[in-house]
Amino acid sequence: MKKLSFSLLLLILGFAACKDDDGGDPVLGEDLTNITFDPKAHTLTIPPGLPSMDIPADNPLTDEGIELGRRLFYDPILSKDSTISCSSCHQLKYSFNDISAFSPGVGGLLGNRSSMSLINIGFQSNGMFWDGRAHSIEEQALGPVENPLEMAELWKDVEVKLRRHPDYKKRFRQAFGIDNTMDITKELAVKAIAQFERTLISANSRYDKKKFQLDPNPFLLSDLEADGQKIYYDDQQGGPDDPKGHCAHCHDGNALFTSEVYRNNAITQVATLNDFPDKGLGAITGNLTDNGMFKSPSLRNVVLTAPYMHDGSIQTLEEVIEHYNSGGHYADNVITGSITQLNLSDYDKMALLAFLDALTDTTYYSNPAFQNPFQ
Amino acid sequence: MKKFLFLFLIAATAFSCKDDDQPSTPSTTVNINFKAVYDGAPLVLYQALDYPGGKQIRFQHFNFFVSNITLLGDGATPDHLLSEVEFFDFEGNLDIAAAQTALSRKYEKVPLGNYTGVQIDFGVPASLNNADSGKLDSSNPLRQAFSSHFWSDWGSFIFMKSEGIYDLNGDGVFNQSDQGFEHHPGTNQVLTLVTKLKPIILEGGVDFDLNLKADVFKIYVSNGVALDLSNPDNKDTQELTDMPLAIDLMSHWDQACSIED
Ligand code: HEC
Ligand code: HEC
Repeated sequence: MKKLSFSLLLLILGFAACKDDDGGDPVLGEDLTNITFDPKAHTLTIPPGLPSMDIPADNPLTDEGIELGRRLFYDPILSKDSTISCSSCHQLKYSFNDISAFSPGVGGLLGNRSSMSLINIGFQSNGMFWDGRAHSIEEQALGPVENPLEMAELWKDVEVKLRRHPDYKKRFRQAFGIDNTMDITKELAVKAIAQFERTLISANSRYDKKKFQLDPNPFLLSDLEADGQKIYYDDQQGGPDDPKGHCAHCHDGNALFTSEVYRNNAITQVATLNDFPDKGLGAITGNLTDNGMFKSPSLRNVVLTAPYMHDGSIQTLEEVIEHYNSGGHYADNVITGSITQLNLSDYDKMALLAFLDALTDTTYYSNPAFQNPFQ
Repeated sequence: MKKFLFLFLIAATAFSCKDDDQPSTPSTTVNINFKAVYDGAPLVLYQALDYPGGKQIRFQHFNFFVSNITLLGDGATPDHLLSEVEFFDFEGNLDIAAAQTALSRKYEKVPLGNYTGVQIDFGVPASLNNADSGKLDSSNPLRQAFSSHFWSDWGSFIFMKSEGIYDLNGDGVFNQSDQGFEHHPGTNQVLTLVTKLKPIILEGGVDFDLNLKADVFKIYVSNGVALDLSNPDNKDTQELTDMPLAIDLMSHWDQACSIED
């Protein structure tokens, strides 16, 4: 397989190399070959605890590609009326999420799902979106532009805008070595965005510093937080009567804090599996038993991202914990081994909340490399 | 000049495929086809099944790791390692047709010869049972199931997930008053070696199908004694205090796994 894709890449490169033979016509675009193409390979530093990241062979990370992607991510040029950028709904200060249940797109129209944090998404390998319908970051990034409730623009019009843009045409050349402005395509735009997204790595919370010994300070986690951690992981060091939260069954994945599973966490009361207002995974697979299943999101930086759940229906983390403590609404596809009455005491709930707080990485949302380049 | 470069690339491409044609010992392809069953019948998830004692049980997930899958040689034919590790997840067993279809893995270039059986570890070998396996290439089953199966609090993979619900009050319906169970044995202590003896004769020209069955019923019922699912202590295996149950369930793989004729 590797060989095949490598050969294909070579073939494609071969073709691309022949392209300029038919270039030069001003109606068909502008020659860019006088701009130096010398991209610098970008090596990611993967912190301990995180798994390997799959970087597609046809989209290696370069400094130029990442910077182009960052600009596209923050630029409302991708939307119909230049009002909405990816960052409208994915704001750095909220861990690239937002704080409304449903985010307004072009014209103030509201989508039907809550936005998601963009954090360590380059490591994910089991689908993107609440229902897992996108299979790669590149594929995902194609979606928002033409979504009428988000950016409401046509990619062909975005391509025209980018081709005419003095700065972007230069940056596309520098990132991808294209010879002509006509080679600026949506495929390259989403590749650049994906490169930027792969750099969005977070693993520097107090929990990480303790777990992976990044900091020798023995007081990184308070006793309350450490107790919360035990509840999170069903770790009954004090004996079989210790409280269990079962959280890690769906929100672990080692340092990812998502097990990348699709589950019904019992937030919606339904008479039958047919009755979910949003079928989630079931709408994608067509399986009745997948109805009402959604991706278990990463709980990193979760204190920053209220309201919660795919429909933004839970306002605070206290209420989220209360929900799990109650066992929620039974349906035939709920895993009642975990989603069941937990009988947590007030102290246990406080501890769990404190542990979630210890997953906050302040160096993530203050990272200059992730900030808006236009400000 | 560009055109030459292109030709060169094509040539380079052609050469890079060469190593497939190297001469080797006579060999064939072995397919491992795994089916999940419950008391002999195909395991259909979400379907009510009879559990000893008169009540019913329903499964929602059933999956497991197997490792060091080895064909045992007869002395003249040496042992042959088919695979270091595989992950079988029967999440697709949502109807009888799907449940009758095995999950298959293909192993090419298996030396011909007379093998006496197959040896399988149920679980993840100690050398790979750590967080570093998350750094493996994305084609590796341990990387693919890392997020869902690595239990960081143990620093170990969960070797098997068997999840479902037991009709505790015996009223014939499943709901919140019944007993959910989540059996997730893991850690090096529960790695279970299973040996199945049966002549496996690999001859040239034909693929060999090694048809394996995993009977989840036999994980719960051993020597006529069924795990008491009404006992809340038996509902999960996540804590160290549950280790005896985890070991017990995993030890039943010897009877739960069989070679089909
Ligand atoms: C109008 C608000 C809005 C805009 C604009 C927007 N998004 Fe999103 N984004 C969302 C919502 C809502 C979801 C979840 C949608 C769903 O599950 O159906 C989401 C999901 C995602 C995800 C999936 C994350 C995961 O963990 O699965 C990624 C990645 C993402 N968006 C990237 C982008 C990029 C890149 C852009 C710009 C090209 C963008 N978004 C523009 C609202 C928005
Ligand atoms: C059986 C799997 C499962 C278990 C166990 C579980 N969760 Fe969840 N969790 C989910 C799923 C699935 C979602 C998304 C559901 C949705 O949006 O419909 C979710 C969402 C959340 C959210 C909202 C995140 C966001 O960005 O909106 C929080 C917070 C959360 N869970 C915390 C917890 C805590 C704390 C525990 C333990 C007490 C826990 N979860 C146990 C599956 C689970």
